[in-house]
Amino acid sequence: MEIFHSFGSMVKILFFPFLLLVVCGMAIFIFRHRKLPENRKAFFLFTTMLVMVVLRLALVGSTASRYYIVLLIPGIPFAAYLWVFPGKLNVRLVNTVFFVIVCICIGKALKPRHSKAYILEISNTLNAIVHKSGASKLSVYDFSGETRRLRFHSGFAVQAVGEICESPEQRIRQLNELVGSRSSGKGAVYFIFREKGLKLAREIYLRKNGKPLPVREIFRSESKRNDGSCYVIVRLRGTKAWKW
Amino acid sequence: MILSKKSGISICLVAVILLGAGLRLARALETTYLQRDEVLYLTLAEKWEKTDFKTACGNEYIPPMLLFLMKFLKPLFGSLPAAGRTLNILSGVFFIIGMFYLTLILFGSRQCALAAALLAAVHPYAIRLSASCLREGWGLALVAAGTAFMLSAIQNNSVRLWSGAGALIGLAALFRYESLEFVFIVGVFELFPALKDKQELLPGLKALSLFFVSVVLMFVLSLFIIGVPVVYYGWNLFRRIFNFVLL
Repeated sequence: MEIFHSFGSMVKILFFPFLLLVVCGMAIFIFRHRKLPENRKAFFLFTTMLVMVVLRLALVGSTASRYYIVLLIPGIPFAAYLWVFPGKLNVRLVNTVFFVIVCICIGKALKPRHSKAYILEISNTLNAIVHKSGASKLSVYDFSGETRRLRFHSGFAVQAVGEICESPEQRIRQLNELVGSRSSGKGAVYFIFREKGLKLAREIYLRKNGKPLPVREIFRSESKRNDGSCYVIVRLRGTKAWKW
Repeated sequence: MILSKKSGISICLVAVILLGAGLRLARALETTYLQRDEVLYLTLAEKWEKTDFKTACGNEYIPPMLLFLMKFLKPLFGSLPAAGRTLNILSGVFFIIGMFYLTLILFGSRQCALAAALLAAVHPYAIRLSASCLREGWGLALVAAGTAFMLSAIQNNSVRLWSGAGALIGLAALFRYESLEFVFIVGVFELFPALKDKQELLPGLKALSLFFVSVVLMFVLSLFIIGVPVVYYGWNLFRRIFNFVLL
């Protein structure tokens, strides 16, 4: 299945409308040059590179699609070839398609998806809290897996905790241990969760036999991730270790 | 005054480069948050600025050139992210020029080369990478330029151009290790014809050894210049490649 994932990443990074130009350009090039062109040695090297890079990417694979960007190097010349040497294709049609694809590319480049806006929303919220309350001590525990970015954007020493336990009992123990192990008993404690389906923040609030616990949801991100989950900040008030 | 076709294309190329730089700048100004790896690189560059390479990046296997350039240019741009993004916007410009020459060598048509430059200028993912603090921008630009040099070296049968290609690939490896695969590709390309015709062996070996020496020289010299302990780094890199091949 790795190979399908790799080809999916290649299509994604080359950008589908652009990929159409590349494929058509290659087809026309092969059709026109059934015999190799004059600079055949250079073409042989270029083809060797193309085949080896595609093979390496397809077989070894990679987690991030941006690693496949090197495919632009063989892709761009063939896409350009289609425009300048359209062969038996209608020149006006090729020009129009080329123009439209260039416009789509510019549009896509200038309109980035802000799917990660929650990172900034959380950081701004934490900064606003400090600014408003004048608090100097703040403990922030992150269960969302975005610790590094949150730390960078907010400027706070956000601590990575790993994943939140799935069972409610374990979760309470996990949170209690965290709060109890704080070196300084003072200052407010904030937890950052990523909620998907489970309403974690509400569940924490309702725990302990219905007795309300001193926790408060202070932020819920407006922007959602691709999988529909959103981010929540919960605050625990008090200065002592918590007795649940 | 009527412009010649050549100067008309040169003017268009300048316009395309300006378009590409403008799009990258607009994208960089539009993007407010950083990607995970960007944060990692910025954190490492910050640590390296305060301490030394071993303390800051000793356990990481990240090619150090971008980190060094960000830290080096920080006083000029005010912050590490600004330095990183400006550097990558420049890499985008370099990529456009590299693609122009690569296509010119490949198809021998200036119009085709100009079209390639335009596509390199507007490609959304090339723009996205050029507007970030990631290593791919310079890696891509240097590999494109290195490839153009290699093709030119073959066409003109020039030894100097092989050295130039090697130097560019050596520099690219300091942004992305994958660029070193070109050493293998050139090896296959130069030695494969020798199986058929033994007269091809000597020129092939000459080109390959020049290319290889240039890669190594550029790699080691650059590490030395940017203050990375060469033996320590080389040993770490060797272990990394060894582990990768074994696993």
